[in-house]
Amino acid sequence: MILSNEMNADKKMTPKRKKWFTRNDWTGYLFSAPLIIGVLAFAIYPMFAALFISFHQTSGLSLNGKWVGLSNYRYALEDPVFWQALTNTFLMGVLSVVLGIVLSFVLASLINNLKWNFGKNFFKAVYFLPNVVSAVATSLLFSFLFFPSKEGLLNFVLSWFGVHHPIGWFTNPEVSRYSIVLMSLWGALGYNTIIFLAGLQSVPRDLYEAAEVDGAGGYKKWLHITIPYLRPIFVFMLIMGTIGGMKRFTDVWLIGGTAGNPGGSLMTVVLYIYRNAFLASQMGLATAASYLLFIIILVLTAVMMLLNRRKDSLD
Amino acid sequence: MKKWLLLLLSCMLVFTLAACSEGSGKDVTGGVEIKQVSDMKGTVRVALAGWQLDNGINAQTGNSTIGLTEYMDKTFKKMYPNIKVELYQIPWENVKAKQTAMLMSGDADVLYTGGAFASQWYQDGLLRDLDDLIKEDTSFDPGIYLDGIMNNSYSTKSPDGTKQFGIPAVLGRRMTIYDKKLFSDWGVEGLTEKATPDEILEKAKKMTGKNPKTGEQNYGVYWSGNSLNGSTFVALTLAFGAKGAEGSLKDVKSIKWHLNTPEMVKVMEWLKEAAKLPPAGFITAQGAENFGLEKNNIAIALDSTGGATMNEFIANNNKELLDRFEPVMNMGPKGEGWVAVDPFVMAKNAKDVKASWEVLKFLTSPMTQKYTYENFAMTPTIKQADFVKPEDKYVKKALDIANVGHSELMDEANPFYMSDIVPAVNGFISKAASGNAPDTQQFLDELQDRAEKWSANLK
Repeated sequence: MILSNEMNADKKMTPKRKKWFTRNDWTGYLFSAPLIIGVLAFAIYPMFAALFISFHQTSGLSLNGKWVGLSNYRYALEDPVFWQALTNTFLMGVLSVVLGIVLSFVLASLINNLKWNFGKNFFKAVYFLPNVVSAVATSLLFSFLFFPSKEGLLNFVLSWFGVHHPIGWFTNPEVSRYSIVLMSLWGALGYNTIIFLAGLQSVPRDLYEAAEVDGAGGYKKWLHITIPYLRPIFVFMLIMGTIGGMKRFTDVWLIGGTAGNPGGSLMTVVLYIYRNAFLASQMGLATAASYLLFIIILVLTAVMMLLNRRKDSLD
Repeated sequence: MKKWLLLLLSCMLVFTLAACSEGSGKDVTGGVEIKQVSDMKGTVRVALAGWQLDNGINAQTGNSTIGLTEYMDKTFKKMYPNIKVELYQIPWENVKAKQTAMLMSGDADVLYTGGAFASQWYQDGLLRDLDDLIKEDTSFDPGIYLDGIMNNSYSTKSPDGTKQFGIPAVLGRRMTIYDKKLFSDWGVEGLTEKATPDEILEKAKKMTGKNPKTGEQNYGVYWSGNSLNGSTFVALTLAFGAKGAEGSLKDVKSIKWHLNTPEMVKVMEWLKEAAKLPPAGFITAQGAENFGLEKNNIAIALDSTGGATMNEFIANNNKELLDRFEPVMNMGPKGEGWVAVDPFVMAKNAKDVKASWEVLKFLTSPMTQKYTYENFAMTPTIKQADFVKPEDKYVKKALDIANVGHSELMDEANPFYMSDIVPAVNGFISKAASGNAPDTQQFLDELQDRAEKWSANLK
């Protein structure tokens, strides 16, 4: 009797094995089908197709190319232009991300401290405006602002401050990468600032009040409360900025052409991929370089996420 | 009050739409009466890179322009009332990927595109040979087109030169143009009709510096230092007899590279010297904004179009500028240079081949070329372009250059040329401009080595 009761109790406690497709599930799958199909067709399939192509010699019109194994990867890795492109990309990416995050955080803090709501909205709009301008328009605009002769606006303004020798913003290989960073900062500052502003407004007021009771000033509150509290946002910006920076193409292509002029200083990895894919129809080599870039971005992202795994002391 | 305002606005909108929806009322046939040619039936899908379909205004001259849709309605539709033509306009940005997709999915029968793209598609088996259609059609005369581009261009002929896959529709204009006023200010004799690179360099050096009459900074020579197709480099290779490579585009991996020959050294040495003379912005294609206009400060422009001067003439009847900016032939031994040709081609799997041929033939006909020249200043590809304005010496010169043109392996149809040679040469130019030019022989040896590795990777 006892045994039978126990068995009955066991039966009751063992959860029922869930059917794969209940009526409710069908409805759910039906609604998510367009998205799943879209992701499979436009994200998963191209990724695997590109991987497949990277082991082939093909112009990309079909998957049926000549199998060449790792030859395309070897060629890219032995190509000094690829390494030059990677160095340029990395340098411009690091500068853009670091300066972009620091400047936009400072800017967001300043805007957040404004007492006047109209002022807050005004500055948010002003700094966000460049973000809605296309990269093509920005590049054109800056190619005139940074015109390398004394007629260029920036050189003209600098001449008021005693810089009489015009700077070759986009024509001097020593300067051009920094000019691109300046240009991209102008474009991205607004977006980063808005994200930081949203974060700043979510910091609990009682933390500041408690700090004030302990006698903390504005700077100390900023350093010991605001910055640690916004750490997840910093990490998000760092990762997204790094991914964006490693994929730099439109601006350098519009300004430096396919050579990444001046002197190859604006040659980036995506420009290298573009040259091989669409100018030389070497889709195998281009996809191999794409996968190398993918691996680099993946490693960088993983490293950043690992470094951030340390539990936040505020919690 | 609000109702009245709404009514007034609605009326204005209706009248505006009604006014805009009418055709231009302009004659597009040059007074020729259009008659029905055939009652052939069919539907043809035409994919056009960059053409303007709707009526509009030429931003540079202010003149009104007739879009292709109205032109086709007034001409082709009357000639072939039962052929339905579907026009698809594709912006030049990323046109290759889009048109390739259309060809692969069978969504286009006839295409207008860049010559290099057409050549690539032909080699990939996406285009149809036109020889049988040309042979059958007695009304089509291939002899009306400029020989240099109909018979000797990668944009219209197969790599081995035996098959015709494209009919040239629009020509690229690239010629040497010099400013007579600056030459006079400096006391330098004008360029000869077939000015060689040495003559150009020698005269350009004399005219770089402060203008002896105006005191303004002048620049002896200009060309685009980040040109996508490296047209100036091509003209120089022709001038110095530097072939660069031997073989056929039909078998790219077997091309034998000759990139470090003494002739190629001369080409690069010329570029190294000349790179000191243009305005600094030339390496990013800037600095020649005023060439062809009143405020010009550049004596000689290579691979120039004359477009700015001609637009000034059309808009303001400025004949002074026309007299001032003189075109001469390009730098090749016969005056040839790199000639861009944009052809019409037919998809391999065109649905209705006969109707497609009629459309293709019409869109490359002298009548259509007259229309594109008058409305969009496109350069024609025919020998008897009698519709070209008598004052338009630039188009006439471009036609002369195209007539002696020929394709070599230093061409945008060559994949390694586009992906590596042009960027390398542009990089060399930019380093030379900043006074840090690499050793020429070493640069070319490295380029040769790179080319050989590239070919080896294909095998």
